[in-house]
Amino acid sequence: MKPSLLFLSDEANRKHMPAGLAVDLNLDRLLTEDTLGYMLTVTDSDELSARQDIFRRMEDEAFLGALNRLSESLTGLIQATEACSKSGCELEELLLTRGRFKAYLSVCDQLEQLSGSPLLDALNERICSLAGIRAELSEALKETDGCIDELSETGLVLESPTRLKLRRTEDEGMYERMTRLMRGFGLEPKLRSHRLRASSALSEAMSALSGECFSRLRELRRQFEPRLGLDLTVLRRELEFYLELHALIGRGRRAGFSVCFPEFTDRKCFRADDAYDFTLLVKDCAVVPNDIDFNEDSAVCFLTGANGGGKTTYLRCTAANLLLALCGCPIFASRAELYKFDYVCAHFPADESFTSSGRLVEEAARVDAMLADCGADSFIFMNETYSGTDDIKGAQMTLDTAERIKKLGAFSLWVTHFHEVSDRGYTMLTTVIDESDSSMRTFRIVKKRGDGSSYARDILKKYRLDAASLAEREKNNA
Amino acid sequence: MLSMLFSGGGEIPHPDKKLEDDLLLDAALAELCPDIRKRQIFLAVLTNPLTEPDEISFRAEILRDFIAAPNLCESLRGEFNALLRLRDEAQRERSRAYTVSRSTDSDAALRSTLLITNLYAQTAEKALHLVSQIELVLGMYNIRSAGLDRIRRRAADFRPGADEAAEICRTVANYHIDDYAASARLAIGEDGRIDSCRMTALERRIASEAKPGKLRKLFAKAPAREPGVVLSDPFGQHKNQLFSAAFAGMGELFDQLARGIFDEFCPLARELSFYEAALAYVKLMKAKNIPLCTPAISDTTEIHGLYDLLLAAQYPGAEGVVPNDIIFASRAGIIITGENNSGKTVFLRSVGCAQLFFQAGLPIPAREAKLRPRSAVYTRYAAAEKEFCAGNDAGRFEQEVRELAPLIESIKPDSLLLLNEIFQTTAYSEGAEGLYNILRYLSRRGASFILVTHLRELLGSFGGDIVHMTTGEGYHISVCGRKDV
Repeated sequence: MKPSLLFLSDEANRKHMPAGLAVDLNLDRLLTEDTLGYMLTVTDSDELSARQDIFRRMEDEAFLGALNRLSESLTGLIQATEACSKSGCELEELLLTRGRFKAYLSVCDQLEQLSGSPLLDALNERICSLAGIRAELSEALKETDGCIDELSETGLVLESPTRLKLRRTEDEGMYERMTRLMRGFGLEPKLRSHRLRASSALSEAMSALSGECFSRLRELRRQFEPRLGLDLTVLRRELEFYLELHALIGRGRRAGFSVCFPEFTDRKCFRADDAYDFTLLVKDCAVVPNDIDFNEDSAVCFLTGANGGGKTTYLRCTAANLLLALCGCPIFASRAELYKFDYVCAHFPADESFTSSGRLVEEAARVDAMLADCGADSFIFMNETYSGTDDIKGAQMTLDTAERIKKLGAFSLWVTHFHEVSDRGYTMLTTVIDESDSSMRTFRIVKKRGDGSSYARDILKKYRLDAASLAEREKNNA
Repeated sequence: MLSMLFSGGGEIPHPDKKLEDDLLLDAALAELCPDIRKRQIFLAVLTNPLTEPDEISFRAEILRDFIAAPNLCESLRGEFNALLRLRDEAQRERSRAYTVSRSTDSDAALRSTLLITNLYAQTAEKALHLVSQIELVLGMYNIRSAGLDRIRRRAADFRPGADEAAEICRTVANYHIDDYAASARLAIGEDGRIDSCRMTALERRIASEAKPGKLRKLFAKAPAREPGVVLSDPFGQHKNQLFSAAFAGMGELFDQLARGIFDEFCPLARELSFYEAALAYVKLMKAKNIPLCTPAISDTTEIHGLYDLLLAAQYPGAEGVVPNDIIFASRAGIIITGENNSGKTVFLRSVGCAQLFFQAGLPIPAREAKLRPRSAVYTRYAAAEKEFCAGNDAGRFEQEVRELAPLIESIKPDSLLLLNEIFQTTAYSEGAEGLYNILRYLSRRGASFILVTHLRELLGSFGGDIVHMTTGEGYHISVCGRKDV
């Protein structure tokens, strides 16, 4: 198994949550594709606690600094490896390879400073098994330290318009003399680099001139290239996972959100106090926290209520914090405990790009496909599914699907306008309206039976599109 | 940064047009210095008075050097102008060379690089020569001022290496691509790229030599028969690429050298204009037998025999202008009253000009003087003297108030206000009361004022806290009442 900062066992046959989940939850606006990919890969319990351990340690500035330095070293190694693959001549290839070896040593040095958690210790053990190579490589690199200086003693002589010769030179040339004189005048010369690429012909000529130097570099490459097959570049992506999420947590903290490490329990539940929808960080607006309470008695919950009351926000809050928890990250709540669900999925309204079968049929097909991947330990989020049909049919399809989910033993949160779903034995959540002004939304969600209205009339009145306002308009127009 | 105006370096600020207009400085200086450009520089410096005594002395010393050595200023002007011309010419040539070198063919690129490098080399050599001339000029005179001495020492910094640098410049400037012997050195980076290609030596083939093919070395050893490895270059691409870089590197150094010299010495050309105008002023005053004195730096204001600058410039001699005295030490200010056209405004102007000249490091047209450096000098003249529509008294008063308001906001302690007949465009008692309150406030803030006014109620309001001066016969102005001021 490759060394990893995220997985204690082989990642290859892991279950993955749907990629579209990240887009539906707007997480793609906050996190990179690689990090999201890791978030959507199911973990085991040991990995969860090992990751939480690393996240906890990242609260320490020294540890965080060490991780950042490791990230820089890994970036250097990746860049050196890419540059090697694009080298244009032997001179470049040899020196870039040398640079790559140096970058590799730097990564190993940084890793050595990080230890004390299962993932880090496993990684170090794997890296340290190359300790023998490290010492040897370090010595070999020292022997080539003088090569750059030696190669920089290459002089060019233009003996005739087409006859160029290379020779050794250590003379202070005209350029050095001029820079020395300028410094004597109190003027600091700005020395520009030209950054030219050597051609193969030049490389060969330099090889003939500085044969011994080239031999040392070739020997270095020959000796260590086959032995340094360890691909440490994947580590960088995994490291970025921690750094990105840590940065996201920091951003949420600065916005005033609570943060906590959730506790995992064997009881099937997901409870969180004062949970924040951190996906709203992209909007830079005030966020109202809400409680989350799913348990075996309230495994499938419906959320109804006023338009614009925060239902989808609540759904995103629940799902996104659940994903954070399931990848070992702290979540945005003051306190939380949850079961280790092994699959999360969501059904959001899709764009109007349906085949001849129509929206409802397409939706039903998507739901069927989604449920086929779910099991008892799944958490399913539905956002106004089946809203593309009449109330009666939509409500019936909703209830049928909810029954399927219940039989699976999975948990679910379903945002819906179908008030017919109340009184069917499911837990109902609803949005809270400001009692002094029915058009004002509080964005609070509570467990309650909905009152059967979506308060659409208030919104229509505000914009003079309610029945009375339309009648008055007609009167004025007549 | 070198400067003849500021001991720590600095740029000539924008002129204070209000001071310039109210004190009629441009009109006065037009007589002294017909050159508009020099006059503008002089006014810009004059209307931004120095506040530190050391800075005032810095300039006064430089002016003394110029006065003591009449040809020094002119000689320096010659060298500075040559430097300015060189800079401008180099800029034109550079633009032309870049316009010419648009070809991307590597052989053409090498030739155009050489052309540009040649230009830079010539410019650098000439710039070095001019710096040595500046040092020579300053060395010919007995300079005592710190400012000019500093310039001389800076020019002397170039002396030790100037010959060697000039030799390098000449060598490169005279190099022609058909004289193909050149050598350079490669610097290899850690990533295998050529970080730089630095010129080491140039050789020239001499056609007149008895043995054809003999090379005359100018630098380093003759490379022709040295061991080495031949680099195949059938199309000259290596030659063009690498030696373009080598020559470009030399060109950059030459350009930096020339620009370094221009940046340090060219601004002095502009600053010299101030002293040229100052010398013209001194010369003219002397020619008219108007006494000049360098005021002693003091805590008080005391001037004896002060002449108005504008009148001194316009009249043929000293006898046509009436000098006056002014003394005020610890009082809040001076109030000047008197008949119309009795010389009040002229007197106010003469004091303002004297203060500005003093704080510019210049002598003032007076017999003797002790002056205090002010943090700022402000003028506020009556709105009635501006072009307003007739009958718009309420508008004029408001205009005066509006102009005064920001001044009250930003007034600094130790500043001097010169106020000429303000607040007279309303009922006098109201104007007096309003002005009294303002002047009291200002004096509590540490500012001093000289007020020309017809608002005699102010005299009673201030009592002994101010000096009251009044005009008499023949434009003489004297202190009224109490003698201990």
